[in-house]
Amino acid sequence: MSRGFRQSMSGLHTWSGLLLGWLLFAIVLSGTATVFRSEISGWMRPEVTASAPPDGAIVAAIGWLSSAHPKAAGWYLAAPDERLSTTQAVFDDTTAPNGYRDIALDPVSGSPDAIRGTLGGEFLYRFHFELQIPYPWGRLLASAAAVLMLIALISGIIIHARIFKDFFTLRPGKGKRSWLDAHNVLGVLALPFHLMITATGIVTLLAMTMPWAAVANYGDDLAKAFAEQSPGLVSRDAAGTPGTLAPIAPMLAEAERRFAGRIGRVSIANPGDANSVVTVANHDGDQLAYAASTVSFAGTTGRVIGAYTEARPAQQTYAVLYGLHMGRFAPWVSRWLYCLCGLALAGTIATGLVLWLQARQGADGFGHRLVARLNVGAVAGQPIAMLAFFWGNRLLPFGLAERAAAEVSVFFLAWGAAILVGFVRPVRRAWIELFWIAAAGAGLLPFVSFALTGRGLWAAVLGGDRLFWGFDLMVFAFALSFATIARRLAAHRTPAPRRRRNTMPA
Amino acid sequence: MSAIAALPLAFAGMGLIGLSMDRHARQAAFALQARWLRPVGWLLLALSLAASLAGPNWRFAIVEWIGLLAAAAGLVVLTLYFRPRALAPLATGAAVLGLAGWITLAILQSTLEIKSH
Repeated sequence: MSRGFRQSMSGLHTWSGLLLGWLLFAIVLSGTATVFRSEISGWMRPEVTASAPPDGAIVAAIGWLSSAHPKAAGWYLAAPDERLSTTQAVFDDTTAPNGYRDIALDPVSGSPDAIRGTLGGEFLYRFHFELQIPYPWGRLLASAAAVLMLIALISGIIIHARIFKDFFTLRPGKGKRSWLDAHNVLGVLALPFHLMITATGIVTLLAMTMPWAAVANYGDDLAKAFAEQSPGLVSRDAAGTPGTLAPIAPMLAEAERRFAGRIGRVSIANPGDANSVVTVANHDGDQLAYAASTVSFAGTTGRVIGAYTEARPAQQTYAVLYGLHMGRFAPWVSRWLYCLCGLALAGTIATGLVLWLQARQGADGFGHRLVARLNVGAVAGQPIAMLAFFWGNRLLPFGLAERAAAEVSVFFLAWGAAILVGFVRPVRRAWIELFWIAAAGAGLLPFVSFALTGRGLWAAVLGGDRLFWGFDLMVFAFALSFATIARRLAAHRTPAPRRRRNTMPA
Repeated sequence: MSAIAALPLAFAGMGLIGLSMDRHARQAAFALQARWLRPVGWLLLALSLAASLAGPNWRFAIVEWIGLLAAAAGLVVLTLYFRPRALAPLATGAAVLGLAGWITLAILQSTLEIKSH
């Protein structure tokens, strides 16, 4: 390989990594947390201790929705499963700040009234690819970040001249050399995962990144494009005359019989109308492909009016790639491996951001100082923001208006505060202080949570409350890691001036 | 469940491949400079894949195995970082453990199958 080529790849790697590196770190970390979306949602709703079979929970949910939100244009329900005991309901509501509600319903009563208002793990899931920025800009930005990530990965492989020789190499206490070792090891060891998750991440937002094929074939007729992409979806215009939903349980039983498996999602279009449609989809955790088989019923009679299982090869390929990214299928070992590999990718990005500075030691321009300070808030601030989100969940008063949105505000306030600390404190002090804050925030959370909810800690071990037991253990592990990082940063002396120019570009 | 066999086998394979490299052999104070180290390492990785594929769903198994490889390589790096001299005995132990785990799983599976018939 010519030296010039590798050099230009090195430049590409450096700048593609830096440009959206801060954003990528947030995307990767929230995505990693999303692996445990259901568990996080369960932890954030400690009131819910009851459980019900999926069909019973759907019947209860529809009972509550029929009396509380009969005028909604549609109810979109996700049935509880072995990981999450609440029914998730999304429906349009004019009183909600953004026009719709995304709430959890009690599996037995079907009502949300006894459950604190929170988005739970759904927030981290949506933040992962929408970044809390209005449609379509958040998704476009996330797509751009994913493309840059892929560029950084591929150019990183090209410039890493000793990819196999340095495969297991991690040398301690050598300043920049050690950072580069860590960057390489974290990036290379889980490289197949990194490539897979980045490429499939681009695929999930493909309609945003490359809309031209659809535009060329369908022009402005998006409805037709959508209908042909999802021929299984039965849609009927509202009749305008009121109608009563037939009992839902027989429809669910029929769907289960056809799937020869459990139900996952249930949607009811125009629930109070004579032309209502009930569509039942199978559970998304039962196959690798993220595509459901669906059965649709006429809402007022319960008669089957459509059934569909995706069998077109291109669509199936898409669904498998989508499914690989979502990891909904993953049994628990795979789930933890997704989490570990995701943390490795976050670590690769964080060490890469640090290396950008290390490679330019002695430089003191505006750009250099800006990067140094942004690194602090972007990297250390992200776990702090997530922890603040959990603290907010426990500390905000139960009856607070728009409580779920308030929790999200706590997330961004904490992130903003961390970025601010990065700008007002000396850089090294800021790193150390923020990691101590993160360690304290994580270490104390299980105790505060236990005091306020009575669930968690040892009661969980003795009582077999696996969810809280696992969450507490995980948070303690993070507290320990943050404290270790803070201590090592504090112990680390500013490195001596460079002896020679480094041969490896960073 | 197959991870019980597949992870130790992958660790053993990665460990032997690591020990076949000069730098890490020196680090691990490993005197045996045999040519067979690397091929045996690869063989153990292949066995780890085979153990993974013994599960009911091969699609899930491949995804899991790729993650297990990363985890195993990470464990080798950590071993070399914190306890380099322990790598050779740990890798040997893991190979034995992995094979034993695989045989146990296979026996358990076949007895379960006999019972279900």
